[in-house]
Amino acid sequence: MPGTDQSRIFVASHSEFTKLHSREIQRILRERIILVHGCLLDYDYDWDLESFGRLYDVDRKTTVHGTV
Amino acid sequence: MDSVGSFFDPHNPELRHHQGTLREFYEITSTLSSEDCPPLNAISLPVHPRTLYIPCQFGSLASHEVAQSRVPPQYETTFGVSGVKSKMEWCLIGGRGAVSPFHMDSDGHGTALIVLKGGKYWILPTRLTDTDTLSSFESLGPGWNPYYVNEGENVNRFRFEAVHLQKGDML
Repeated sequence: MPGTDQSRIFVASHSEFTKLHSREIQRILRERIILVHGCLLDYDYDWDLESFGRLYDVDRKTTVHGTV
Repeated sequence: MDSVGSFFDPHNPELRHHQGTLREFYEITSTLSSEDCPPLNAISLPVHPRTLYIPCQFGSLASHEVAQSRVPPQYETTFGVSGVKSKMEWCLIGGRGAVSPFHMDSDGHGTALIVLKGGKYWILPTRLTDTDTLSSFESLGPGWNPYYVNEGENVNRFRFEAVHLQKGDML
C-alpha cells in the first residue's frame, strides 16, 4: 500500500474469497489487489500452448507490444 | 491445426514445436467471428531465438499467453457509463518467451485475470507516496520507459512486488 510496508496484494484461498461479502471485496479493492488461489476450473480449453513455438505476424494487422 | 507447421524438438523427440501465424493461432483459440473480435495485440513476438538479457523489469512473463477481455453487452447501460467498451475489450497473444513491458490493462480500468493453463510471473508497482495515483499512463510522468522503469529518480518513487501466478489463480 502507498506509504506503508504492507503488501499491496491481498491473498485469499478460493473458499475464503467466496465467503467475503461484496462490499468487503469492494473495500479491499480500493487500496489493494486481490489474489485468489485454488479457483476451480471446470473447463478444459485444450489449447496446445506448451508446444506452440513461434508465431508470425504475416498479415501485419496486429499491434505488437514490446520488442524482439 | 492442419495449417500450422511443426518440427521436432531435438532434445525431446516426443515434443512438437508448432509454428504458425497469428491469424491461425487466433482461429484455433477463438470461436468469435472477425466482426465480433476485439482488437488483437501481440506481445513481443519471439520470431528469432533470443536471450532474455533484460526481460522487461516490470511487467509480466508468461509461459505462453492467450487472453481476451470482454464486457457484457448491458454493461454500459446497467452502470450508466459510456465509452468503456472500446477500452476494455481486447485480445492478447504471445508465444513462448514473449514478455510484456510495464503496462496498464484496459486504460486503467479494472481487470481481473484467471490463469487457465501454464503460469505467469507478474510484477506490480506501488508508488511510494501517501496517495497512489498509478491509474493512467499520464500518471507515470514524462519520459518513462516501460522496460526501464526503475531508473534515475524512479528508484525512490516505486516499490515492486512480484507474484507467480499458476493455474487456478485469479488476480
